[in-house]
Amino acid sequence: MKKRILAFLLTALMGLSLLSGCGGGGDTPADPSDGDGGKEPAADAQTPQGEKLAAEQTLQFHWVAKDMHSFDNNANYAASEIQVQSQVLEGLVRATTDEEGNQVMAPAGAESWDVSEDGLTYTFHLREYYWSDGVQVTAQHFVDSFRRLGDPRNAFDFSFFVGDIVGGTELYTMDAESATDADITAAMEAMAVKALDDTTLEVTLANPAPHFISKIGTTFMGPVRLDVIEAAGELYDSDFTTHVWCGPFVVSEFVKDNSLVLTRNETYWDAENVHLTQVTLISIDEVSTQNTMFKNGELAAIVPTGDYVQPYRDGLAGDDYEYIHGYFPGVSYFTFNRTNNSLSGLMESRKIRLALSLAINREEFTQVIFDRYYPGYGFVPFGVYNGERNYRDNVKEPLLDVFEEYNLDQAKLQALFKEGMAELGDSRELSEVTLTYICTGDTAIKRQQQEYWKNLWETTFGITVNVNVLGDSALLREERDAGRYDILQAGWNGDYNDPIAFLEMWSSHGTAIRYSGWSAELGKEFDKFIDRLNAEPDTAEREKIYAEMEQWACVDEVAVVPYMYSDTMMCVKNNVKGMTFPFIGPNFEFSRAYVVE
Amino acid sequence: MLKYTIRRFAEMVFTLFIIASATFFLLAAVPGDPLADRADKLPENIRQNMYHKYGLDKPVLERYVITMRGMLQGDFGESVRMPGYDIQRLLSETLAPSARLGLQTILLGVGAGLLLGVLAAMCKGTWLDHAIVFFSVLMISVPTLVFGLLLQKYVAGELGLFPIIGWPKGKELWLGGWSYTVLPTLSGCFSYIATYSRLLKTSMLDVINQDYVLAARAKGLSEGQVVRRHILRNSFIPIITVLPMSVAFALTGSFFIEKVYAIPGFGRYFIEAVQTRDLSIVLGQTVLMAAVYVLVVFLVDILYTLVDPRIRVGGKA
Repeated sequence: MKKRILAFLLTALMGLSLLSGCGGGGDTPADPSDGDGGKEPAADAQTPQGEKLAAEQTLQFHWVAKDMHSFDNNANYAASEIQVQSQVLEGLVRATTDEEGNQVMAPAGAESWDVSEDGLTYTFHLREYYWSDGVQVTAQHFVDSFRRLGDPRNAFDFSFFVGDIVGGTELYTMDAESATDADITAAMEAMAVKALDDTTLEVTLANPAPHFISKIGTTFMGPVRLDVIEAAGELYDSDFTTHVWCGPFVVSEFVKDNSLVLTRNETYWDAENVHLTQVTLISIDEVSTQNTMFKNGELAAIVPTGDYVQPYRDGLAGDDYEYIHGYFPGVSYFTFNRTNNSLSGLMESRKIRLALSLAINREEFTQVIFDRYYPGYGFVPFGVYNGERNYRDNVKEPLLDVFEEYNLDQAKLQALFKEGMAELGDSRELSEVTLTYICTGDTAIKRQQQEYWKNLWETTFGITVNVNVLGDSALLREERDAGRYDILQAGWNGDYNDPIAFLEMWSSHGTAIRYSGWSAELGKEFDKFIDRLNAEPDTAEREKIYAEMEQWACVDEVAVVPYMYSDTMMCVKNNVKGMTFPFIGPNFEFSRAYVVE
Repeated sequence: MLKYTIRRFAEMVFTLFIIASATFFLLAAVPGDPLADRADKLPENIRQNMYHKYGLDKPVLERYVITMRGMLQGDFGESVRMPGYDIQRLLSETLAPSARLGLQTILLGVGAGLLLGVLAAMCKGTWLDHAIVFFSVLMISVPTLVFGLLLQKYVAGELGLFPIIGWPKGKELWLGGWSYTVLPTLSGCFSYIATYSRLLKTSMLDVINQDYVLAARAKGLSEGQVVRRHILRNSFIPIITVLPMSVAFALTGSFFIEKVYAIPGFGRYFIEAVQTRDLSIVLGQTVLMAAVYVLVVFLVDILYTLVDPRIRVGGKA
């Protein structure tokens, strides 16, 4: 979801830390059930841990205001929008983290839910809660939301989130140009989302999808009010005063591309556990300004980037903050030109692709170039869950064994490359081979990376690597779509918490087809895994299928060369407690946060 | 004069039409469109529906006709990046902070610049002249961004004399909230001080050596009268050429200062709209700036005649 905005950056490296969500954390989340119980914290109010609440419960965060494109939660696609919606909207479940920093989808608008034995029917039992205009939030508001999200005329970015539901894929994949309004309405009504009564919502899935709860916790799938949308007309996207809210906060002020003020929603069902009276989100474009303001105590948290990473990590930037480092659902990788005849004509060889992958010293790269992030030997990063199961804890990274076998041995790697050439009937010497690598970026850190890859492959194989640095992503797309390359660097961030959020891109309808040099024909081979997965409700069994998929993508087929997993880094002032940093979801979950003296 | 004005107006409309068309086709020729980055990783059907929704699936010429027809009715179209916004709404919400910042900057910068220019010219060759020239060169060489960040870090951050970021809003939009405006105004005015002090000094030195100044002195006018009536007035021609343009640009915002001090102004859109290929906003801005430019040139022509009676329009010498 919000990570998608990052994904657009093509290199996962750029701006990662700016928008990062969070995984592990040392912060102890406040238990929503305790708290002081008062509406306004009394001057001597105490927290369950015996800390004294500060008289003023206000916080300020840096937030990328220009990415707040719309107040329409169905239309949202950027991190900034998700940050706001997660605090003003109460969906069925809320993304937060447990004591260990693992992502939890906590009951929110839904008090509880039942899943049928076949894993196909979800029945949500809504609590009695209200919009800020006094209207009760009903199951129908979710039905309306899902239908609106999938409506092809709206072309919402995350319309594919209804794809799990019976009739959902049929709806969002309709061609808006040729379909009639009646067809679309019929498809919307045919989608298996039903309000059994005001507080019971039944959703039937086409295939078992244990990750459905992770999707339903996103703000795109939060409730909407059709009457409010209609009354607002064209202003619904841009004018917050036309909206009603049902989350912990309401929007009370918005200055376009600059700042947004949230104030506590007194009608929120759990208002007694919302301590912050006001939160200001403001765009501070210059990192040095952010740094100045964090030091002065004007910002509650900072995501250190660039030159600021080291001082903040090593505690040189003061002692009044907590440094938090954790996983982030992002992976950086190389892919190959598999759709057109690649420039060199060599990218058809699995052995050559594997050799290029095994030549990478992932530990050295992350250490030397970034001094952060995690070396990646698989396509699914650390911290991703498959149902209740932590995927990476249970499944060994697929490239580890074969990497160990070759162990960066230059002779063996060269031999592998030569074998690949021989299989293609290419008898040239390695020194006569030229590979073209396309990428964007002329910042110092990007140039270092470009140099690193060029140098690495040239010295390992004795070939020539042509680095074609394009001016911007539009120029890169032009080269890419014209097939004028061999190797392409890209990044992918999971939109929801499940290995399939990463692996699905290699299917015959996956996004790798446009985005990562892949083709529908190649994807068909991958579809056999998808078919098996669609018939499997058991998470332990699904884990095995995921492991096979990853093995296939990274080793058997070498569709992709993953090399690095992203991370998240942030610093929070010591007097700010109860914040959580969901792995997927808003950067800061501050609805239950509070300030101590 | 009326005939001249009408002719200039017709020229202006034609110029704007050419500029708008050129902008449209240039933007169409550049790789990328407002949706490309966003849609690159979306499933194919959604991508197609999205292009259809914004009409970007239509041929370029058809889009050109639609755009031009809209522009004739004053409708530049809705922004793709910012749903609900067209150029008019964007201007109405963001121009005021930019305009106030611009006005303050121009008043301070040009005022101080002209004063220093007169001083430098009158004290030519003294230490004061050298100091003014030295600081002018320094001020014009250091980017606005650097001034902004330095003032922010030390004056606001370390000394805490002014707020680090922010801008007056609500009732204080035009008057009040001065403490917010001090550093942004200072950061922006340096380049004006430098430009105008050097411009006026050079121009004055030119005029000082003219025969009519010698004549004025010879007929016994006091030094003050010579400077005010003869030197300054004649030195103002180059200033009048440049000043209206400075004002026009200053009013529409400063990208860097607005960025550093988080001022919700119009300046950022000149860069962002082009980066995101947001056609309706780019067209609106281009036409706006072109109109302002053409108008300013016209005004300057009229102003010349007021300052210098030797210049006449309409061919009557």
